[in-house]
Amino acid sequence: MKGLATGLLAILLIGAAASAGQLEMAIGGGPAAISLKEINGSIGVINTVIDLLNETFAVHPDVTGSVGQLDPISSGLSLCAEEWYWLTDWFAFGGRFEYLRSSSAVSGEYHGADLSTIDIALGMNSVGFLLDGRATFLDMGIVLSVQAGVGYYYAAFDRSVTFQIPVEYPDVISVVPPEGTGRHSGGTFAVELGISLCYPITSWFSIGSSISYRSGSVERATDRDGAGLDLDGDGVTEGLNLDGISVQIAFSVDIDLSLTEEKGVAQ
Amino acid sequence: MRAARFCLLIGAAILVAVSLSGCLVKDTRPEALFTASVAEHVVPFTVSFDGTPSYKPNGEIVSYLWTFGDGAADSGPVVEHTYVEDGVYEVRLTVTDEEGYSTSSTLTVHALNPPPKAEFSYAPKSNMEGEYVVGASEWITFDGTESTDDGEVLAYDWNFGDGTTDSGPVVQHRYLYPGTYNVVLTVTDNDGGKSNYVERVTIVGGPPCNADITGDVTWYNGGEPE
Repeated sequence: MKGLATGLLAILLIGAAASAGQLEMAIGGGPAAISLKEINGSIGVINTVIDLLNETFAVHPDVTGSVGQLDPISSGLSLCAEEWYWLTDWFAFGGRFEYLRSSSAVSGEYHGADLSTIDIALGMNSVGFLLDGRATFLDMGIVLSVQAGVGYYYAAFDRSVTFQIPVEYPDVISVVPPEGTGRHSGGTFAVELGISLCYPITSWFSIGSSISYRSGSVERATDRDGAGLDLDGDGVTEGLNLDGISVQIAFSVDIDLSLTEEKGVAQ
Repeated sequence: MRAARFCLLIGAAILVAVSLSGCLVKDTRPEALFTASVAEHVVPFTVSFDGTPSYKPNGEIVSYLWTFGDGAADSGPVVEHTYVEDGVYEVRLTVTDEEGYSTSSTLTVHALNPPPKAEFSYAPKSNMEGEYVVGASEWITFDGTESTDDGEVLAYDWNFGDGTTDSGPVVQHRYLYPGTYNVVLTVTDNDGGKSNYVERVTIVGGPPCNADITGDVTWYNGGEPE
């Protein structure tokens, strides 16, 4: 995957240089929202089981302790690096590399005849490489553009789960999160649509912001043994839905690759 | 060009709207979750199932349908069911929300075979100062037919405590030397269930001179092979 991304980036760079147009390179980062709806559905189930335990042991004479709720994995940090080659003064073609991370964790104990620990740490990392098109439709000193891209995302979901139910719990629960650690991963093609605002500081340096929506889903993330991800233990494997928004602040540098003396206008 | 840029502007507005609404997309399926009062017991036994932990995010569950794995079914958030036959049963709760979406959850219930009850008597025996005794070398009839089961007792295995074993509902055995021997009867029923019954047999006296000692005989001293 890394080799593919590197190769495509190299092709873009070489192609841009060979065409001798205006090249824009940018890096940025910011908050991101991610759906992970099946994972968050499982987190809801886990929280319900924790609620059952807390309610029982809040009034149990022989057991003390409670465990907090596991936050949904719905937001995180995204970082990106991108490159644009301006074919005209209002349309560019480019590549975009994006990294996204989000996580959630909870820990607690019940003290009864034995010490029972609930310790859950979940993390999702994804990297994506997209080929983008970008069109400027408003240029009044501040440049407003829309962009759309298609590409491939690789996502890895790490889980570390200790879920010990105290022996004093009187009932049997139909869904209990399986204990263990592991990484489930998979890839998917995705599309991304965005709108960006860019303010040229100098002829070669700009600062901007963008909001983009990505859509893609890893239907089946597997571990090294090929097993699917069943976070809540209900027997149904969960996919990694990467739908969501990224909001980024980006800094870009414009490079004029033309061989003539006439320099292009910074975008 | 202006028309194209206007279209792009409209597209951008739609994009922002789609982005914001897309971000709000949540998994809105109902989640089936239930508890059982017991998941493993000897039949017959009654289990109480509670499906009220099931939920739907921002919605309502309108039906709870239960199947108990033995052909029976029920509905309602809290139900009870009695298992009368041993076996492994998969209990399934299917919840349905007001939009018609359903989700299921399962739990395995182990209904255990009641073990047979092993019991035996033996004769002859004499009451000597409040204790039953049997003379050495005397043939004793051990009768295990008093053992009972909800099905059928298929096997009777005897261990006479002197290193010898036998099988069958009624067996005969004799002890050549005095001592106290633990006689163990193990019965096995038609479902593979086993149980033991142990009784001490006290042997007094020595082997009579005219004892009918034939065949391969192992001599014991105080119950242990010499």
